Amino acid sequence: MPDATERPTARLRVDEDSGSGITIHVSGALTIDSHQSLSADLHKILERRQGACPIRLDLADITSVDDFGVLAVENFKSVATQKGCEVVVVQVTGQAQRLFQLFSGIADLNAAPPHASSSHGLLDVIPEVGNTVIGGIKRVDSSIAFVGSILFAFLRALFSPRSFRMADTIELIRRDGVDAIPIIGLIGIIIGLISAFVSSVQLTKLGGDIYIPAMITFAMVAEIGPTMTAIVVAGRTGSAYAAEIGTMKISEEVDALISMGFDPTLFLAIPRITALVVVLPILTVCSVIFALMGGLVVCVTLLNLQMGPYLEGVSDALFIDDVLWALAKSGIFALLIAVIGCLRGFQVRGGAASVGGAATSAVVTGIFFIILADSVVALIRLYWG
Amino acid sequence: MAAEKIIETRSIRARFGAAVVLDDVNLSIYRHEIVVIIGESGCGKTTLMRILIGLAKPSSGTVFLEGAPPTRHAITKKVGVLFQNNALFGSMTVGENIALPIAAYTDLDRSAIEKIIRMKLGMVGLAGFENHLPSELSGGMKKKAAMARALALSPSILFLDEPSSGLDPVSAAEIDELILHINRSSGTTMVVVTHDLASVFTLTRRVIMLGKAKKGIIAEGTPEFLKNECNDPFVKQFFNRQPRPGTTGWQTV
Repeated sequence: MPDATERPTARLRVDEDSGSGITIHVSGALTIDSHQSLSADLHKILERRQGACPIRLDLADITSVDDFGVLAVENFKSVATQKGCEVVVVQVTGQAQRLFQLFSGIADLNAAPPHASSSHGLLDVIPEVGNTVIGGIKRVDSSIAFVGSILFAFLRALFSPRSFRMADTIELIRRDGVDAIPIIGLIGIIIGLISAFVSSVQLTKLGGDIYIPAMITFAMVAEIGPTMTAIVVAGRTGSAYAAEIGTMKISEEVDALISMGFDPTLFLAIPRITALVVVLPILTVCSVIFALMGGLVVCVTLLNLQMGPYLEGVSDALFIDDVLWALAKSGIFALLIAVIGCLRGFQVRGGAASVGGAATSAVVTGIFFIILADSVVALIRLYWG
Repeated sequence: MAAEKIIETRSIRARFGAAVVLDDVNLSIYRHEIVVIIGESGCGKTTLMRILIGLAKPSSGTVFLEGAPPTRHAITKKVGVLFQNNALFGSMTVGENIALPIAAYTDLDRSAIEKIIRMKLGMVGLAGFENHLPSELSGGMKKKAAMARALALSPSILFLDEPSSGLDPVSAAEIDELILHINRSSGTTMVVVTHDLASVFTLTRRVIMLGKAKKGIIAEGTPEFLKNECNDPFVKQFFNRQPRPGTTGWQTV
């Protein structure tokens, strides 16, 4: 019985022809297992032939063949032809013949692709630019339509409270708010620790340790708290909204809603937007509290600042105006994250890859708009007085 | 007395960009009948169904539901849909899925809705499964649950997109029997879009076949007529499960 682990091989025997040529008799297997050694052996013979030409490749004794074996022979033919030596394959029958015919058909296709055009001239750029612009306009168009449908759905929910899905909204508040507190808290503590530590490096030199609590408070309330929390929520919740709605889109659940007479925006987007607008300001407050706790740890353990003076510093720097602006900003960020997440979900077409793309796009677009909105709010506040 | 038309289309045309999928499609569906729409992949069956149930708008042409252009409200009340992927909401139990349209479109109280849910589940042979999540059901049971939801508002017409796709032959036969049973017991008009020839012969005396080349209806009649007597060579190939001559792309090696 043959050893199952033994790899089939091709054997070569070279005979001198009556003229100047040689005949290579190939026997054994021309398969995926032997094609590398066959190829190497054939090329060795080609190097040593010392001008012998033409080369006849006799395949009469092969026992099996597949496309890898045929590829090895055709590569050998190609290399030999480049070196000025003609190779004639003879005694090709049965499956080998069909494979060689298939290969020659593919080779012809490669030589003359039917409709391929390799030139990318200036004229080709014009339609590409046009398509990109039209695609961009369509995306803006669908985004405006979606914002319009959200406003309409909110009005419907306002005038017909029964259509508002309160149970879904409460569940989303739990999932997107309560469940997010551990990660928001952890990041808040770390930011508080870092802020206190980094600012202490400079302020200690100037004897200004006492200003560290005020600095952390102002930075966290005015800027870092709302922005960092929104960015974390964009990654955690915005992507989830896009993936959930996108999956519902491709599994026909959105179509089922429409066929049952439900408005998908009212059914899916409004509870998510409402839930996030409720929870993000609360999460921001949590983030600030945790950051102040982180700052307290650094101040008490490393800077010999007692808890009393620390809390006094915090309360001195805490203004109701700043808190209200931070809460308003968080509400705007929540609106942006939820609307973008839902929009990207509804834009899903095709299969699973599109859902992944929508989730990624929801995060990237969400973060971009958070930073843009933060800048706009900062400018408004500057001129507000 | 002539049978009453429940759905009628006049010169329906559908296109996506430059590609025309349906062109000049005229069909009538009569009350209480089971109609099967068949055709090769990409011939526009699903597009036609989406137009008929109001999920897509035709580029031109008109659809009439019970003699009038359908409003969204009319479609919701009179049309039920079983989607190919079932489209059950995974976060809701089977009972909650069925309750969704009932709660939205009736003034029934909770206990009455629960009774209706039990009745609908009994109709499809899933009695006692109202508290199960869709993920806890087998493929055939999900189809039945989705059918119970489609029947929630007792529609006049039920559209079924590939009702036996992805099911083993026994489950597929059960779904066919269920379609026949609901049609006989409640008189609900059934429009079945399918590829499954066995289902075609079991379910209906009237088949509408769409063709990709013609972008519309290429044949109509009983399954036996289409299989044995129709002059269209493609219809015969389709019913006899033969590949298109000369169009196979594979090579013998």
